[in-house]
Amino acid sequence: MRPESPRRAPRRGRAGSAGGRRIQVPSVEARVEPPEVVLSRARRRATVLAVLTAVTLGAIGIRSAALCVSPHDQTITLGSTQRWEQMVLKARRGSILDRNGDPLVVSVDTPSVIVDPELVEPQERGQLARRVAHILDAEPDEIQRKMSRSGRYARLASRVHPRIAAEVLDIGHKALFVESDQRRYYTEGELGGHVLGFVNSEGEGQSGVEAALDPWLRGTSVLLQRRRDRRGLDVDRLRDVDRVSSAGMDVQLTLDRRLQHITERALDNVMERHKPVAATAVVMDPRTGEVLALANTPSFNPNALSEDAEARRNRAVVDAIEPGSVLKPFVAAAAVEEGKVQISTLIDCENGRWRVGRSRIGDDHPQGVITVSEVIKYSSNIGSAKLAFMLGAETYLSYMKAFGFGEQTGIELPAERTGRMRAADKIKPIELATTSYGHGITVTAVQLASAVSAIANDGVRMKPRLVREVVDEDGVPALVREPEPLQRVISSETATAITRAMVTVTEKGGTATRARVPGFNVAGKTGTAWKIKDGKYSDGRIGSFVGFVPAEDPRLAIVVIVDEPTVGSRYGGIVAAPAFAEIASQSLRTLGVAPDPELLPTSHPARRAPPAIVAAPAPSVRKTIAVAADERALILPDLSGQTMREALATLQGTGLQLELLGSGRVARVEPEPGVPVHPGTPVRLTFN
Amino acid sequence: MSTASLPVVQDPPEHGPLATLRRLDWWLLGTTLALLAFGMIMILSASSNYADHRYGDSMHFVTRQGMGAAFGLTAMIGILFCPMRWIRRYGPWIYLFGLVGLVLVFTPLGHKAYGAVRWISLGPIKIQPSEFARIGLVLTLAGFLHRNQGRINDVVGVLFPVGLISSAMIVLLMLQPDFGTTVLTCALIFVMVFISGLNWVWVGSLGVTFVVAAGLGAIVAPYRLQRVTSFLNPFDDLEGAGHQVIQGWIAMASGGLTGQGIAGGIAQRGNLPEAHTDFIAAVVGEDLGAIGMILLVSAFGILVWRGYGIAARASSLYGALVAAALTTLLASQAVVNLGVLVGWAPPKGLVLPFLSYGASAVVAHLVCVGLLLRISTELPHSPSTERGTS
Repeated sequence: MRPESPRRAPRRGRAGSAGGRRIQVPSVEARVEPPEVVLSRARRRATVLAVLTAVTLGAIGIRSAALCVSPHDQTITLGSTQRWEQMVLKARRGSILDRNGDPLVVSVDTPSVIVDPELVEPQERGQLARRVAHILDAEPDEIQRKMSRSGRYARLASRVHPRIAAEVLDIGHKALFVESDQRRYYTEGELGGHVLGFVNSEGEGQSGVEAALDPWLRGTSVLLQRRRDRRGLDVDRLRDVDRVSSAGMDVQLTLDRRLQHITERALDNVMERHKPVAATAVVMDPRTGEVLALANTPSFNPNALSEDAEARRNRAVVDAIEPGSVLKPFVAAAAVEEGKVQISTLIDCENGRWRVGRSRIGDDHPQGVITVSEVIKYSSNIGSAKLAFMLGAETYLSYMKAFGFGEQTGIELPAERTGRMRAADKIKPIELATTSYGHGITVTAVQLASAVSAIANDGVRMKPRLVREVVDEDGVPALVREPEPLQRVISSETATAITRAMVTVTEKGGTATRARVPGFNVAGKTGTAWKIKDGKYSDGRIGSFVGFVPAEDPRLAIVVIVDEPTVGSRYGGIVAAPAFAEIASQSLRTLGVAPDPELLPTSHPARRAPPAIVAAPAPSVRKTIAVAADERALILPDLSGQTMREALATLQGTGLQLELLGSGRVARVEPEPGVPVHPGTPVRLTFN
Repeated sequence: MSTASLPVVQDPPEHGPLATLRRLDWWLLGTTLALLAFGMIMILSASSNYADHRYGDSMHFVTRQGMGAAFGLTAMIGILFCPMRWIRRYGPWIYLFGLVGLVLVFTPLGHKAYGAVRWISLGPIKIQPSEFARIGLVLTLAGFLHRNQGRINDVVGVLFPVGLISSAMIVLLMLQPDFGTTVLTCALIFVMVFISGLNWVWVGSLGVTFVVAAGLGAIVAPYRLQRVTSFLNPFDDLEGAGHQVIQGWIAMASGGLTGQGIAGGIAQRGNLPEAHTDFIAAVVGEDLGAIGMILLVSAFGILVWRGYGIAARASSLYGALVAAALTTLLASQAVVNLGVLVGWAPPKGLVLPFLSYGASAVVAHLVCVGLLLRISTELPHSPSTERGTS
């Protein structure tokens, strides 16, 4: 400072003078500083302000740059939740169809209606809530409460009809949007549950075809990350994302929905009649290896999964059982093919008791010297064992392999078992003997169906399969499975000879007369195996029947396995053969296979034919429809005692005009059962 | 000090517009024009989405700001050619008009927004009289303090009248209420008496009084203190005042070093309240990143440095007071506005000069620059009117 004042006496410091001045406040005139002092001080102080402000701005500059380049973690977290939207565009899962294109599983859109409460202005809330509630058929108060919530997401309704979701969107309010979700719908409930399988809550296949063909069905889901502004408008444009997420493909099975129905109903009947633990059936087209039906009971409904894991087991592929005598035709086929015997060669069956090493094997129906054909017809264990010994372990087991035993068939189902077969170099004679009639060897139902199909198909085994083709959403096939011959197992002549022998099984005196189907020759073989429980043979039996029909030109190869029947007989010829007949007769009719008129039993309406024509001698319940001798007429079955549902199931597809009176069980049928009726004929069922 | 050069200057007096332009502080003018142009771009970036959504015209705010800027530039150029003695003479009238305006906001002409009446509505134009009243106050006080220079520490003869002159405006501002502008106006008054030579005892006791009052307030009503200091940690107040600051931080964090590009940010798409007005600096942060922020703050640094520099070279106390006060006016707006954004000041609704949308503010701030430029043309090395008056 420059205390040089032209007008006033020099003063010392300002602080001192200020203090002095304060005492004599009002006196103005004496203490006026000179302008030079005032101005220079003003200039200095302006500089001070400049420095202070510059420092402050500098600090702010550094701080703001720091906020840009190294923000707080919390800032980052808040920013990303607020600005980034993550969504999975789930591809639509493909449908599963039966061989005729009937949908068995479809994905149904189940949209949810969502509101972003922040985008609803408070004053419009009431009106908007009323509109939405009207469409959703919900309480307006409830909707309004959800719209008033904090946060950016409130679910107003789940799994609404797509039409309702569209109506909500039509309001055109930016706060309302629809979240698309899918639900798997099994169109026929339990039908084919084991084949179709099910999906988990994420829509991933867990069993059955759903699991085995998951990569095809699933399609390509896309994870989207995009920036969204406060009004929910997309900042980043999506570039044809819909096309990126390609929908899952449709899988067409070889299964025939109608045959599957028939098969499942037949198994239900078995369950009812014989109360077994379980029952399994496989129906295959022997010419192609296509599985037409595959069923197990107990079954489950994929639409409403229960906790019962037993019911979900697809026994036809995941259970390998000791099959018993149904293996006999295969040892005979091998022996004939190898030239060891002819079908008419005589075998001494030792009158039912024979020693093998230190063990003894026996027959239920002791026979003396019989032909190879009769070994099959009467199911002689001793005869089979002798055939196996003639072949030798190595040759015999190589034939078993050729028939498909001991390895996966490759059917498109998960967790398929190979079954167990002893190695040729380690097998003991007694084991070879038992293996020839189906003990000490385990097989699956699908393996049996495939093996018997080889005999039916003139000796050529086809690759078993469940999938016909996979087509993309435009209908372009992505995978086509043509029938695939695996190998010729036996010659055509051998196949014919064995088939003839197998037909005798269902003829008079055979073990499976109940497997007969009117109008057709049935080739087959029964089995009654001792059931292994906890590693030991137990009291229980596994009754089975393996066969094909018509014997001359096989269309269906059918395996029926009844696990531990508890009521009535335990023999395969009694528990499994009728189910075979039921499946075969109805399926043949469904497929339109014409019966051989010469094979139909002669029946005259006037003579009061038996209530229904069922080839098997007997069980008193005859529920199946039979075809009358004259063309196109049906013979009404005895429906008495059946429930309305059972009766309707029986008459399904007959084309009869049904009139139902009353409720309960069938009391009377008009016209009388046993009378041939033509489609269109009125039939009155009275219930009581 | 710079006064030493005073007597040495012997240049012949220069007059006329050409001479005025030659002596102009081109740094100050250049920085101002750059900020103004940059502000237009940033307002477009910050408001186009909202304007389109709200008015169906993405240029809505930009055109209005452009009209304000055109008017302000005209005023600025006009002032450039007004000798300081005219300004000194008519300054009090500006203050008087400003005060009338501040009264008018309470009449039916007043326009209420954000819970306060700060605007006069004249048809489509809204004027914020406090912006102009402040300039008037600065000119009036500068005149008074100049006339009474050397007696600044005279309580009754000088300080009391200063308080009296100011109180009219302070009271009217508190009635609006506009606390932020009140505080900044008090800061202006303080800067002026400080520049005039208020002795350090006064300065010190004002500081002590402020601290004691704040301390007392904190003891008597702790919640008030909390309300004022909550800005220090905005994360604790996400639903309230902290929300806006955090949105600004999110925007800046998204900007990173180089930013998302002009109009590339999304804070201005509804997340950041007041994106084109008080929080426009956050949009600069998101669009242009840390580099943009540093350039922006640097521009204000140049502005402030040149402004105080003019004050530090002024040939009269009047010139020094006006230059320092108007520089403080611009600087305090910038410091508080940016201080709010970085979390160092409580949100007070103060605009960032030349960038924030607001026609009154841009006109007033350009008038400030015009006055500063005029003073710069009358600096001592050119013996001009100002020298003769003292």
